[in-house]
Amino acid sequence: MVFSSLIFLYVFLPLVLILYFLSPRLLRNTILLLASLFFYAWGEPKYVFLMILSILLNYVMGIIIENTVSQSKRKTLLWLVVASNLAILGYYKYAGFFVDLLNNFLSQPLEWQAVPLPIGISFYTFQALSYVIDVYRKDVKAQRNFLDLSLFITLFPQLVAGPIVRYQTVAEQIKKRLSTAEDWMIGSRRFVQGLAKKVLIANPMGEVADHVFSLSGGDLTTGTAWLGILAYSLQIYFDFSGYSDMAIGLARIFGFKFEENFNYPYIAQSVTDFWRRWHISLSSWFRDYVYFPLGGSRVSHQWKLYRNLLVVWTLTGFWHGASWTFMAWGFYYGILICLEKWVLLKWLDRIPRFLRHVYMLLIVMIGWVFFRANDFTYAFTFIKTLFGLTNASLYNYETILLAKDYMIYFIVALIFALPIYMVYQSWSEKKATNSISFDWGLRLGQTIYYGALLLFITMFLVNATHNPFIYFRF
Amino acid sequence: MRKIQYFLLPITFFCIVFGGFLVHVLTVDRPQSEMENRPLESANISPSLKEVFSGEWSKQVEAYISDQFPARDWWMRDYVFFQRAMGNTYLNDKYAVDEASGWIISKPAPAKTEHELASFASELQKLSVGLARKNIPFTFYSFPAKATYSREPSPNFMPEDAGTENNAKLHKLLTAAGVDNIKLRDNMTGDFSAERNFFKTDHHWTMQGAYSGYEALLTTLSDRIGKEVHPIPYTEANTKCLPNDFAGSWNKILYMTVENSDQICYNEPASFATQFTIYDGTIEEDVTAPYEAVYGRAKQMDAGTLVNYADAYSRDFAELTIVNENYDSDKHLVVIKDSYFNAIQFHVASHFKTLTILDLRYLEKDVISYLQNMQPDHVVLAYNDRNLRLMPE
Repeated sequence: MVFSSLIFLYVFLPLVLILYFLSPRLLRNTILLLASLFFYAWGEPKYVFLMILSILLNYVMGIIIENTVSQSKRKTLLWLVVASNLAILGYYKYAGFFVDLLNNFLSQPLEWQAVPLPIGISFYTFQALSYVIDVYRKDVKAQRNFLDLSLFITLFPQLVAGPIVRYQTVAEQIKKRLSTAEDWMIGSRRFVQGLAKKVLIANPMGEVADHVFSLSGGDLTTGTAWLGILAYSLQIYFDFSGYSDMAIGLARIFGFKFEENFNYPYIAQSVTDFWRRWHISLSSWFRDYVYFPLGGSRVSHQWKLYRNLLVVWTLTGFWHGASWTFMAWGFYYGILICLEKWVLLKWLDRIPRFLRHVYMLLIVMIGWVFFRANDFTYAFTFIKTLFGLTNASLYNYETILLAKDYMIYFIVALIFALPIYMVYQSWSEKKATNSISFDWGLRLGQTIYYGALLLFITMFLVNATHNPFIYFRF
Repeated sequence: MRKIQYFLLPITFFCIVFGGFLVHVLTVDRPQSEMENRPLESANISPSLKEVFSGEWSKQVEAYISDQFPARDWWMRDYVFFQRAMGNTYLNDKYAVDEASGWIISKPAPAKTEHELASFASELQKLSVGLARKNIPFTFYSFPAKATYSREPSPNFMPEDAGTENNAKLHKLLTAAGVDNIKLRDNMTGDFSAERNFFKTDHHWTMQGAYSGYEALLTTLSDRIGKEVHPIPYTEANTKCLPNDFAGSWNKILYMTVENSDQICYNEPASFATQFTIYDGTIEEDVTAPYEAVYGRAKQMDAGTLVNYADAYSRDFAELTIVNENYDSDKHLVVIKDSYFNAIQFHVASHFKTLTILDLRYLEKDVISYLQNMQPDHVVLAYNDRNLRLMPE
């Protein structure tokens, strides 16, 4: 089920809210778990059993690891459970890629029937992995209550597209949490904000990006290519950060406090800074469970640091999908972050802030070309067209049509990609704590604004066809 | 401390989502969308296990919720207003509107590929050859479509519509393939302005436009059937216009947001009401229908009723057989048609002893063998020039 759908907004959500808040506290986790399983099974009825199997595996192994005294046995058990989780993920997500790869070297090609990718498998597998690794490291106690562990992995706000929640973050909240009127207010506000990002900005930007990236290399003009990559850069940010906002907001309504997943990445001044602000939960997962175990930056030789970075970033790319373009995209960032660590950051410090910003945006937008393109040939043609290195004209009627009809969406997207609204919100919330009358005015204003915004979004949803989230396929 | 003002937003949020749910549950489902011209999804309350586990049922439910969402047409219409307020060039990515005149213009069509045109030409060639085996002559007619000939006002930065280019290429291919073909526009005389020939808000031609087409069709057909037949003159005495507002097909896609002066008119002799025996199907099936139930049903409607092209002239029948008592030619003519022909079907029928009208969108038969068995004197395929497939869209 998609948050930005009429069925979620006007059927599933009101029913779950009623059931949840009218139930005794003792039953609330069970209701949330059942709602989460239903939420997942809605689009993927068969794969809900796969998810339950994954939960069961990690539940049992978590307890066994905790009860095992011998360090070597604990380690063996950890490798076993990590390998099992990755085998499930690998079968559904990467097997086709590796079979294709292998077939290039075999005289008798292997037969492979492609299997559909279970939605959210990368997210819930990584959550489950973080749980067993944390148990192994003795950072957390193994969960004895199967329902509670199931709720941690399946909790519907974050189930299919993150953020990747750590068990440590929510372990206490699963047991005991308080959901106050302030939580409901902050949660519903955050949810509508995210919904608006997705429906009012990401979807129109997606229309532009889909149109431009459907053009053949020969039909592109430089202007159209720039509009296309700008639209895609904005689409992917508002799509994914909108989903995270909705997840954080919904969780807050139920009393869970998730950590932030985005922090205005497009205002970053370097690639390193960008990745501190983009998909924070994934970056920190790789940092804690891959980069640090490899040695991180505390290494005997500088080359090992670069090796670690390249491994982590190539894996990050590969996590997004089984294709060479995703791997190249990850490797591209690995190289750039190595370069920044080596020398670039020092140089960047010496140039004006504006130029640092332009540098970061160019790098990121070029990266998105690889992320969006189906193959390298198209990606390189697209990049050459961006910089006038093909025979493409500067613009044509499509450039004018897209620029004219989507101008308002581009402007709104660029404004909301900057932390202007956040600054206003911090200021107004601070002022509201000191003035009752301001607080009342603010709450009334917010109620009217977000209520109207929700109705305005509904108008878009009634007119929308299919609008899945980009990160659903990862 | 709990502050009462904190409840305002969550309560409003909940009221909107739960209110939407309640209204949805309490509202009676609509079977059909008049504006979208399609049946709406109904609730499947007893799905099979297979439907549930394949995910098919969840798709049906989502389509049902979307189709039956409370005040769906109102939301859709407001979205069109929003697009107009934003200055979108093409509303719903399809049509440009001239606010002052009420003209709706379609987005320019790109040039069709050689393959696409050759594929249609090949289908027509097969039909022509198949009929020739039984000595049945065949002629393809392309009728001038509004989308091809009504292009103003169009944004000046947009490219030309490729409709005329596509049409010319198709006729060239047909000539090369030995298929008898007529581009009707080249044979239509007199004023060919868009204002005269086409509705402002619909994709069809007006009665005047259709009448010019009818005249050109008869003139060119006379040469082929070996008998001079003269069209019925367009006279004031035979003209009648309805006071009803017109629901143009393109305006319906824009949720009737475009004010316009379109009007349904007829030009038919009084004898039409009595001179035909009309069969819904073949003569052998013997299901007859009165003239007023087939043509011009809008004439019997209340003046306040919104009328569309099908109500105004004729709906599409899979097969309609018209037997004429007052004919010029004793031939049996078959016309395979799209909705453009509906406005003039009885005008054409009035010259022939028998006219069979086939609509391949609804006729589930192998058309070549069906026509071979029917043994008519001449077969005409008359499609508007945007239709480039034997099975019209």
